[in-house]
Amino acid sequence: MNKRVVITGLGIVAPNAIGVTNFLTALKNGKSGIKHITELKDYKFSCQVGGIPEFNNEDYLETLSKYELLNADTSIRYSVIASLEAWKDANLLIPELDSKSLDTNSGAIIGTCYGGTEYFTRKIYPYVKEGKTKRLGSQTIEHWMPSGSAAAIGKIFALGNQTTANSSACSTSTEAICMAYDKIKKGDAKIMIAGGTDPYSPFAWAGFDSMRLLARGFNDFPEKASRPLSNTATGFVPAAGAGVLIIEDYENAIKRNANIYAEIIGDNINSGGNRNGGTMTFPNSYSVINGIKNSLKSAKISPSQIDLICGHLTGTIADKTEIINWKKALSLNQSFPYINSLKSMTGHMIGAAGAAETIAAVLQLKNNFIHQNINCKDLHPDISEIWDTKKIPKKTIENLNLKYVIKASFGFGDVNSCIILKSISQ
Amino acid sequence: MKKIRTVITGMGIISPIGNNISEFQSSLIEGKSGIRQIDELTDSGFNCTVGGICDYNFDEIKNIFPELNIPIISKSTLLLAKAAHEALTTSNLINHNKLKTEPNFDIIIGSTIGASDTWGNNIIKKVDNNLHKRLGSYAFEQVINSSPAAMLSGILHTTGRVISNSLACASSTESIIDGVNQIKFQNKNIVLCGGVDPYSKYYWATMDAMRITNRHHNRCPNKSSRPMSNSARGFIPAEGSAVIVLENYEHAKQRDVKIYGEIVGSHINTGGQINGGSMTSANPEMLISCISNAIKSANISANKLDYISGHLTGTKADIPEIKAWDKSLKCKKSDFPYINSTKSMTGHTMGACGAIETIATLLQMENNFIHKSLNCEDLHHEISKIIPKNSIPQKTIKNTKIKYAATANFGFGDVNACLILKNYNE
Repeated sequence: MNKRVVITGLGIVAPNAIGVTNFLTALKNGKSGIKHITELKDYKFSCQVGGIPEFNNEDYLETLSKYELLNADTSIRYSVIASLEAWKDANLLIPELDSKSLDTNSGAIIGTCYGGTEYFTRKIYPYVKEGKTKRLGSQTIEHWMPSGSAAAIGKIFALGNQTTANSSACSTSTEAICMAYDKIKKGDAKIMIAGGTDPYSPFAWAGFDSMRLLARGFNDFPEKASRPLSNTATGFVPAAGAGVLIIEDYENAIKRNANIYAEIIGDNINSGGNRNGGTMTFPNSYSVINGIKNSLKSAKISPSQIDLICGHLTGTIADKTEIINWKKALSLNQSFPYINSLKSMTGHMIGAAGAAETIAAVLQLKNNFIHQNINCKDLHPDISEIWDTKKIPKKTIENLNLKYVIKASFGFGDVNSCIILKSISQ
Repeated sequence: MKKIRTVITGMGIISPIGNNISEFQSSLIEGKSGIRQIDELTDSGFNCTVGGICDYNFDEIKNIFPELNIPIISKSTLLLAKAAHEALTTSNLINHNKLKTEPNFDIIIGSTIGASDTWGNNIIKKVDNNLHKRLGSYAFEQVINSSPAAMLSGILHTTGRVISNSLACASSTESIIDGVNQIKFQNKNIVLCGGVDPYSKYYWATMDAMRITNRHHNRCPNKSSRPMSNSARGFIPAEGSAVIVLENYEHAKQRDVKIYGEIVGSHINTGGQINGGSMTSANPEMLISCISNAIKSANISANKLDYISGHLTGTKADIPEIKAWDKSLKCKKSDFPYINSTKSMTGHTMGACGAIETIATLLQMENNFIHKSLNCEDLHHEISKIIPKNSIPQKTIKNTKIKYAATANFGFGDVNACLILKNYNE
């Protein structure tokens, strides 16, 4: 028998807000977190804007020193702060560091696309280059490795179930949520901390810039740079951050009288195999459509029941294809659901994008509003031809009655993941 | 409900002791060490200047898959492509590089760090010199954590899940367990599982700095990897990749392919870094719990195990590992099954070791031998208290039947994963 799976806690470190309360306000107000980054100018990037959370070690000094993470890769520090918020939000107790009891029903899946790059370039590379390997110290691997976030979080919360890391480029953290959902559904765990994280690293972002995938022409107007669905979109805006959710067995949540944000009722992970138009950097539409359809099937709902699509929508030419794919996957004709893109405010948080967008989806579902898409007043004409323009909000819409939200992420390597959320109050 | 059986129908490997299954098997029987002196490590001021390197002309891999002929290609991708090609060939799934089967199978590849060699030798230099635009479109997709699996999916045009997991030294054991779960619970017919980690002085430097590698045998490399020995002083880092084809038994029968063995049990957990566990050492209770639960999930009693493929790296962790096996098996000293360390020949191949040791186990099962464990003539006195000398082969034992075997891997972050394998012909 499959278990019911719910979301009971949220934690976020995003370019436009740190903490769920601030993030909710930022969503409603359409706050951009994109700024000009001097270092990128020095490195002669074409795109010199990006989304970096206003995260200072000083603000978390006590926590980060307690867990020996002051020097860890930014992505690990982000994910630990987000996890602590989510865990507390779920009204779970943080064990003492010297406590002896282990929670074998709880685990973590924290994904990352290039987590560790920041630490690698700050510390490991210069030391090795200069032949000072012996001075690297004994904590380099745990502050660098992709599973560093999961390992740190496992220690903090004394997790005894699977505690691991996944990686699927821009689809990473939606995939992590799917994996956590599958694990709880099957009865293998009661609580999973799931999400994703990625650091700011000019070395990682250089790859995007050289591929000409990033927004050009907005270096003097950073807040205007991330323009999903717009006619003047010129590429995506890279960003850093972390998003973490507490995914929980429904009965466990009820038993401990937890606050439930939403229920996860279906999911799908697949890939496009770099065929039928799919490449390393562009999705195979057939697989995208198939993945969305399969997740609806697993949720046992019909497409017409969907109230809101939290799109992947990055601000590249792929937006139009995505819109066409949603239309086909949901067999839309007359009546369209709302669609929006968190990336218009945060930029593309890569490995954290799916989790941040799922958190945004959960907050909208719980609070019955749909956040605005900023920077798409000049909707792309091809898109306005396909979609009901009233359903692409340019202003936040409140006092709605939302029941079902779908969230999908698509990533490099032609990989897709999709989840369906249901309001718990209905 | 009919029980779904998971069998292995394909294997592929590239390792310091063999570039394919047949070479690897000969080396196992012969007891060949793959460890040698690496000049670059001496030049970079390493304490431990030996390691396990694959002796292979990497341009030849580009001939196997022409898609790999691109300006920047990571060694991770090349190693994985080589191992995957052999696994798919032995499982009769490809013909002239084209899939002969439905492309909707999953690819699950574990890695501890990934392409830090490409980051260090290529990307950082170019960005530092303001030449990042010369990275072109290929750099990014070579260095992100998901790139080897995504590249493979792209070459083979698969459309199933493409998962890149990271669980330190238990990475590829975890990927096999995920694969087994996909077959058992998600109705998948075929899953490609494995792991990869390439040689990188940047990665190896971090382990060197932690003083967990053996610095005392630089002049006699083939003596340096000494699991279970009284004179073991650390592990020897190595590179490699291994891939296995997991398949639903009924599907394999239908295809009429050779079956190498069956996976009848598995378990994965975390020690929570308490009660003796830390980032770098295992919580003994959870180690025992992992092994015991794996045996329990196989529905066999512990005394059915004929052979253990240990994680056994050549550090002081060998002793608690042996104690954990002993406590999980609860047998008389004289009944202790055979146990050996494949790492005594290959060195520690990190993200690949779980898959490499699974293959070693399958080969020993199929061909009725137990390979010798190198360099433990001077068995550690704590170990000889628990295990009789003749259970740790000093010479390869031939003509011995293995019906059930256990293989386990433990990693940084206090993570544990264990598999129970069954001989298909028994």
